[in-house]
Amino acid sequence: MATVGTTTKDNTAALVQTKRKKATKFETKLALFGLLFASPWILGLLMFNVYPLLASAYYSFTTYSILEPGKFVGFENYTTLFKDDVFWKSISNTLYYTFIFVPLSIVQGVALAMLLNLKIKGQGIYRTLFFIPSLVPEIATVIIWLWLLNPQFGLVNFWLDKIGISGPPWIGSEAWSKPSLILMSLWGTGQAVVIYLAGLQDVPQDYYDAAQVDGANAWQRMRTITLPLLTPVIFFNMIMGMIGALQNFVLPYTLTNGQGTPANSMMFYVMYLYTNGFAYLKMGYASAMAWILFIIVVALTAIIFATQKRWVHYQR
Amino acid sequence: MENVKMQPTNKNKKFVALSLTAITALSLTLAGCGSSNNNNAASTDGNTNTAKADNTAAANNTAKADDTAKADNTAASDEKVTIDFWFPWGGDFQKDFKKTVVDPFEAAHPNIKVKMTFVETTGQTQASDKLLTAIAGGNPPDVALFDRFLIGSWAAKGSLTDIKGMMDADGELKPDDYYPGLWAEVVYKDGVYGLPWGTDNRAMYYNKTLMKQAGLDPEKPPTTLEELDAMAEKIFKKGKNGKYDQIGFIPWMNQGFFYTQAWNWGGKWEDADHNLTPNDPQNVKALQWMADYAKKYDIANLTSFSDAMGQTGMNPIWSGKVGFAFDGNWVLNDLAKYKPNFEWGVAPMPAAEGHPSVTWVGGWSYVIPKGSKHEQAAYEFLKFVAGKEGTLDYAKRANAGNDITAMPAVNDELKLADNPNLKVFLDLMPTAFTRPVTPVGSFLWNETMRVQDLAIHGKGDAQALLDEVKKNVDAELAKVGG
Repeated sequence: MATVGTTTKDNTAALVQTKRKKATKFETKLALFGLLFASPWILGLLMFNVYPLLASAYYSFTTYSILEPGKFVGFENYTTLFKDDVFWKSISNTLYYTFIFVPLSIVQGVALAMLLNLKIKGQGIYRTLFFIPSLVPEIATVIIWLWLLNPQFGLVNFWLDKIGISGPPWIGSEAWSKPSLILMSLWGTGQAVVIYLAGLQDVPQDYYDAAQVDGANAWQRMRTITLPLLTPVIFFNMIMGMIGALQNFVLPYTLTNGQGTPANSMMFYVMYLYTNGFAYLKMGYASAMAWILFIIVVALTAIIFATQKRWVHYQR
Repeated sequence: MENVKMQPTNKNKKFVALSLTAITALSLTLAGCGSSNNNNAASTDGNTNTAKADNTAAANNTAKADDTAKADNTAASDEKVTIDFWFPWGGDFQKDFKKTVVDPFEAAHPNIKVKMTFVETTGQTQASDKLLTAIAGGNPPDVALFDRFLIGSWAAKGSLTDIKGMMDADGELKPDDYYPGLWAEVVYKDGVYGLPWGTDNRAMYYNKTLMKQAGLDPEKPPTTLEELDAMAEKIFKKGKNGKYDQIGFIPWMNQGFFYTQAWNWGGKWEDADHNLTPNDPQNVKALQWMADYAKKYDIANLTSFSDAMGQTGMNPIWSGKVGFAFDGNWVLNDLAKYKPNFEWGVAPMPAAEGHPSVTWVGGWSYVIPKGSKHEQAAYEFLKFVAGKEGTLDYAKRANAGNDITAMPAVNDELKLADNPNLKVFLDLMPTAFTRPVTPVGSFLWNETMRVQDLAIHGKGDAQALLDEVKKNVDAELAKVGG
């Protein structure tokens, strides 16, 4: 396998070298042609990604309100943010959610994927059932869970009552609102499960066969073959899950009518960003928040990347 | 997962992957702002009608826009214009409004056509992001149905047309035609930025059956907050597992939130010089009183009750489990739907000892966004819909229910006071308060909701919380130069 890698590398090097020498007319034409075909995408990227990005960087230093250009205020938006209690509360809420939800979703996702990878009768039906929640629009998820978690007549508290536990007020209480949210989010992680499942099916059967010959039991096979070979997928889902969690918006917004109640325990970062931008018309302030979130996302991603050497196994 | 792809852990690849992730993250983060702008811009273009197409290029050219406005004026009889009208209500509104108001208007003004476009409000902003971006992009509708509460902040940012000059010029409509509080809401500094239209206010609904069961005289609803507290206490009842079966009163339920309660306590939100006064001593008392309720009756238990109520989709009042609740006149409309099997009544909201009963109003208005290409025609439309004729026409529609119009004369003509329940609300209109007209109106509103939430959850003392609100709104005001 190593040879394959080197060959590709050599080829690329050779290509680069020829290009450096002098591109023939045909090659230039080919390159221009390629650019022409890619141009709709390039234009789209420039207009809808690069430009808004740069614009928001600029706006983060102004009092831009959408309705008027605003004036340049230097770092004032940033310094104000650091004195803003709700900003800090929204950061702590968001990190709380991210650090609990992402690991749980990985454990749950891998476990579910392993179950759904078993060769049993009716597996297709199970796979469909577990994927369905991710097809439900998030608003519908909110409504379903509002019923399930209703403190007075919800199904969850009803069953808790049956086993002698007086259920908490869930979304209505400061202590339980975020755990409720995590519960709801876990319900909709079918997409990640599909990716884990693909990863599992990619594990070569001969490894298991060989391990079985050596007398490894099911637990050992999972620990030494399945999990290590699944780490690239876990790594991917961890990063995507983390980015998604840091931008959590629809569930808490619809659950609390955009208020983040009770006692700001559901005020998430992007929700506060949105409120600043569109309800208070403080788009400059909101842009500053977006950039801070960007820095947080990059930092956390970099940390995860830095650790990957220790636990992600690409070699087979 | 091909081997080749996954194989090398060399630095280059790592760097590429990291920067790709970074870009993805950044574009995801910013996608909210970027893409919604683009969507809006696109749909605005879609809505622009062909009649206006040639003007589009001149969108930001004020000189040209003035010319167009003049053209509307001079060529009133022969040049046809189509004005774009955006409204935020789904349901029957479009059909009813077209039939009762737009058709008569078009008949009376053969040169003006009205194109109605439904543009939903966005989330909890009470306005539409589409309207916002359309104005910012210089291609707004000519008329918009607009929450009056937002006029202050939008006018302060120069996004609405001042119609005072046009009003003075033709002298047809006068401020006296409207209730004083409502008129105050369309005036910012010296300009007039819209005309008031539909409105609503608040009073107390009470459950006579529950009062009787609690040994109270059902014909004597409380008139002071002290009486209310005492009567409510007798109605609170817990069922099994300690959860509330019935509730006497929750100060923050329905329309009884802190904004309302501050007024009921004789507090105020601005002084005579229009300075914002969130930490007025009476406001502090109101918030303290609410926090005391939360403590006395246990906030978690109260929340459980209102959450449960909220999910029935029914206003808690009609469930028959609530003794007293503050709510708006619109709640009367639900009567036909729920037909409660208990006796109920409506009375003005009780006030703190020594203060008169008050109410406050909100509601809608028609505005001409800045950048409209047919200001004069738009003004004609405003004058008609928010004037006596249009107001009356729309109020006479079949399913008008218990609406109150912004014009006292129209309400008289409709004989609204003949409905005893509605009369309670109507009588409060002339002295009704409105929220302060200020560039930071939305911010102040959300701040009050925030500290209410903190106070009833026992997070912080009323005085300190409201001092903080005062500090925050002042800082905001200083920033926007209001």
